[in-house]
Amino acid sequence: MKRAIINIVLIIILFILQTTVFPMLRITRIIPNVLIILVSCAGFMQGEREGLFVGFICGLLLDITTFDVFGFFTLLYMVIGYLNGLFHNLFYLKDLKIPAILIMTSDVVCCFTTYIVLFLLRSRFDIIYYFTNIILPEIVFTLLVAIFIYPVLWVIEAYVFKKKNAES
Amino acid sequence: MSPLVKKPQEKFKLPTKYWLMILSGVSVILMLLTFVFEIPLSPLNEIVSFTIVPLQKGVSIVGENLYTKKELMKQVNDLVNENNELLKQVNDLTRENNELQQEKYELNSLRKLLELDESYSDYPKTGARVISGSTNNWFSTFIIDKGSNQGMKVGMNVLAGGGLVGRITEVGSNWSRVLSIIDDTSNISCMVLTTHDHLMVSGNLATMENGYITFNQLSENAKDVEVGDKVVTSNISDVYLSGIQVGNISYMEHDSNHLSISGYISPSVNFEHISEVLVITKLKSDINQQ
Repeated sequence: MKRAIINIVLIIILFILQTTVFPMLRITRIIPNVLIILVSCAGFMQGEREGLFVGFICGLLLDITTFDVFGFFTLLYMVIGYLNGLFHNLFYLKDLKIPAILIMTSDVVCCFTTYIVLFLLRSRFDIIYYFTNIILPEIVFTLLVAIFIYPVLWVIEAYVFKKKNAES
Repeated sequence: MSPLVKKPQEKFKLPTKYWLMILSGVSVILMLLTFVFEIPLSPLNEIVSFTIVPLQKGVSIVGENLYTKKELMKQVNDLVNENNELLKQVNDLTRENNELQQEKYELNSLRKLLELDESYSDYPKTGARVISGSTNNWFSTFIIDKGSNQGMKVGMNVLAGGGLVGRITEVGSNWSRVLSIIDDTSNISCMVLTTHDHLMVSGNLATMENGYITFNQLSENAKDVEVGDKVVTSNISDVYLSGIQVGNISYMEHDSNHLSISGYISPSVNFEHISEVLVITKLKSDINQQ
């Protein structure tokens, strides 16, 4: 119950961050994919069940506020959350390599699926342009933002839920 | 302890695999419903209405105030110089305005004779504030703070600074989503103002980096069209009201099929800094019925 409430509050905060704060700051034309950080972390920190539900809610919000075909982002984010959850057993709080790799892979999968389904199928074939101008900057920016968001999620996991392997 | 005593049963939890299957099924069904059968899912929109939108409103108002204060400090000096120049311009413009007023009077009387009254300055409009930008890098949609409670409907045209911004594609009780004309999926039927030649204007993510959207299907016979001509929404579009300014042609090229011309248009709205928009509260379909 406590976990569910904290997860929902985190989803709302990060959704606002992504849709309102980052577009307003206008550091670059590209905005980072903050929600994928949360979905990925929920998966490998809390398990596949939590990853699944966090992904489902994030995707639902994106679907409502983004475009007309309803359910695409819901499915994508849910599967990403679930797949991250499969790495739950490999996750130790002190390790930084696996979170970095998983967040990056999740964002890559998310970007390429979006490109293939929504752009390639409408005969926008210039994959190199889209890769260098949109996908690559987004991944780099997302990883930079993850440096600030990951510790917050880490603290919640380690101290609020008293994760046993915090010191291992 | 007797072996017959039962262990207290664990609370039943559906395994995650089944949840994955059930929720995947739900999303696929939702996709089919909205994509194939085009059924609107307005009850789901209400989730956003009372969770995200109030917070977004707060954040965007605070952010905008901070931004304008910062800009104010920077611009005071510029404004003094600009003011002097503008005062000179006012004199010129007043004179010009008088002439135009006379011409407008003449135009109105002529229009009455023709029973044509389609200038879009006459449409009822309402202002709205942009509270959220695009959710990712692939779309150019944004959310405004007025919804069905304030009379917004799907298909209404959205303007800013005299040019076309887009149209409303989704409505909640206190928010609406606007698909802008620079979005990759947006297509508008337009015409060249001077010659009334029809063309299709499409948003494009790749060319928008340099500030252009694309057009195509301009007939090869349209010889009088030149770079710099104004492009407005056409009278045959079924969503957009006619005569709304879209932009200027900035580049033209003959297609390899020697039947049509395509090229770039620079939109008349600056899409980087939209914070307030005007919504025309009249639908094209209503006007056609009259």
